[in-house]
Amino acid sequence: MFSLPYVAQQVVNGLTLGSIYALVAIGLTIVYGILRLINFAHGDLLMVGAYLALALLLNTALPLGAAVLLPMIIVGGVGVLVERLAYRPLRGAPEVAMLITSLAVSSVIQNGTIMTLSAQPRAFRLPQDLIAQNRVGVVSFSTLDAVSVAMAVGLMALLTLFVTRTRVGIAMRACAENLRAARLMGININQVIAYAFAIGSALAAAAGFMWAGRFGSIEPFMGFLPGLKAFVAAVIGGIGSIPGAMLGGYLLGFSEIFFVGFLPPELSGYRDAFVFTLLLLVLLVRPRGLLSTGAEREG
Amino acid sequence: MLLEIENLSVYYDSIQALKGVSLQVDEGELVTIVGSNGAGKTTTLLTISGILRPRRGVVRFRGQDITTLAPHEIVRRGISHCPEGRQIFTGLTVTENLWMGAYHRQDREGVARDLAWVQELFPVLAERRRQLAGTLSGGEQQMLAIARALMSRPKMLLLDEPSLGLAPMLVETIFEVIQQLRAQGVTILLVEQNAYQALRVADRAYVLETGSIKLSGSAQELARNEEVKKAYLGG
Repeated sequence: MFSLPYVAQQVVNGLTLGSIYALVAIGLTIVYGILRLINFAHGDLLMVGAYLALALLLNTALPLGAAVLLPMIIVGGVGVLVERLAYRPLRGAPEVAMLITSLAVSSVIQNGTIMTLSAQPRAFRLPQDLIAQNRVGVVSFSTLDAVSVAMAVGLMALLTLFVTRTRVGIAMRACAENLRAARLMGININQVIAYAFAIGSALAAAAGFMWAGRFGSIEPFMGFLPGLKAFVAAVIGGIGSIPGAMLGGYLLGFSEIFFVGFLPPELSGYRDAFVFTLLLLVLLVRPRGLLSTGAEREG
Repeated sequence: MLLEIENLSVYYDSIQALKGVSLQVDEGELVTIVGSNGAGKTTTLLTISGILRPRRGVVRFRGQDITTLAPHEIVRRGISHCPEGRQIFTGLTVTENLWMGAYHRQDREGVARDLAWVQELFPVLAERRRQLAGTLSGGEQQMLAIARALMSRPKMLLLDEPSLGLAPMLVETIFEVIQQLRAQGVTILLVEQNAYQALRVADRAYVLETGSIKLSGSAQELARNEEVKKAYLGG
């Protein structure tokens, strides 16, 4: 059997990975909620965030917090710009047109990074005190893990306040439910959509910092995998639902870690196969995901 | 004239839904458009609100051309649209729905006053303010839809089939509220299949048939018109 410290350790790992998936999944889900767009370029914004963070860490003496916050702000702006230039002109076109465009955007961002920088992976070194391992009772975790989880939870709490307490946040939920009625109520949907892209992209940038810190290196295609996993997380939770994205993210993070941690080591190479099997199982039981409202949008 | 529509032609792809519709609504009037399913009533309202774009024709509100404005700009100018089938936000609470109706407004006190006003018009909304709108009954949802549209303090209210699918008692209630609103000075353009009720409360009426205005006149006149009786009032 597994020892208690080992199990506790897996829980901590699941929590860290789940936080990253949840943050990325939120961006996918709020954009999908309003535009019915599966934004394949979303993971690439995570990559841009990681590169920006590295640039700040290497070239400036700014405090660490700035290396997280500034990329969030910049990538938020990039997300808004992408929507303005690539997706808005296609509003009203068949959904598949925007989907294909998002693949193109993804390609442009990846190749743009290769052209301006290089395809070579770069080391993503964090200050020593962030990587330092802490022991609390039986579990050990890096300061980065603790910061990541705390930050993810904090950001999700802020987002929840935003969508339940603010005018634009409530409008975001209204738009996701019925875009035409939202327009008839005088909601400027372009403004709401810009907010959705800004917030989603900023969260992806934060996740980029965590992801890069976890794996210690970054490269132009690094956004693909977390983007894909976050998409699975969003679908498991019920795409379009913000609590669903959070739940799906943690569910996926935990299952992935547990799969690798508790099953025979020979199986750990199949973790992605396991992830998609989990997706299939959830969808067989709840075709719209765990927390979907079950209603198709009108208009 | 508060609202003037001139020669409006609207297409869904290649199908022409409106064929040169012209109509006017004066300040303080209650005007109704009656017509059967598919006549173009909803299309007319959606074009006024800027959701649909006409291929030809002009919509003027208070003398200004609003034909190409975005829907939220049209709301800002004072036209509010209560859509067919209610289309309330079921995942939002009753109060959140009402706030969405006042989305563009900056005057907090005015919004609070109007919230009190619509809750007075529909007391049940005050009772249910924290409930998710999706849990309301059909009649309550219709009241919420009207109340939500009123939250923008419109100069003109577009009402699309407010009585659709409601029990007779509730239809009475809704029409009483419509008359109350009109007495409070809200100009109303009402689209109805229930021509009997609509002609009873309206000042003037237009009869829309397959995308064109067939008849127009005072509501009393049209209610006595033989053709109208035959087609819309059950003989």
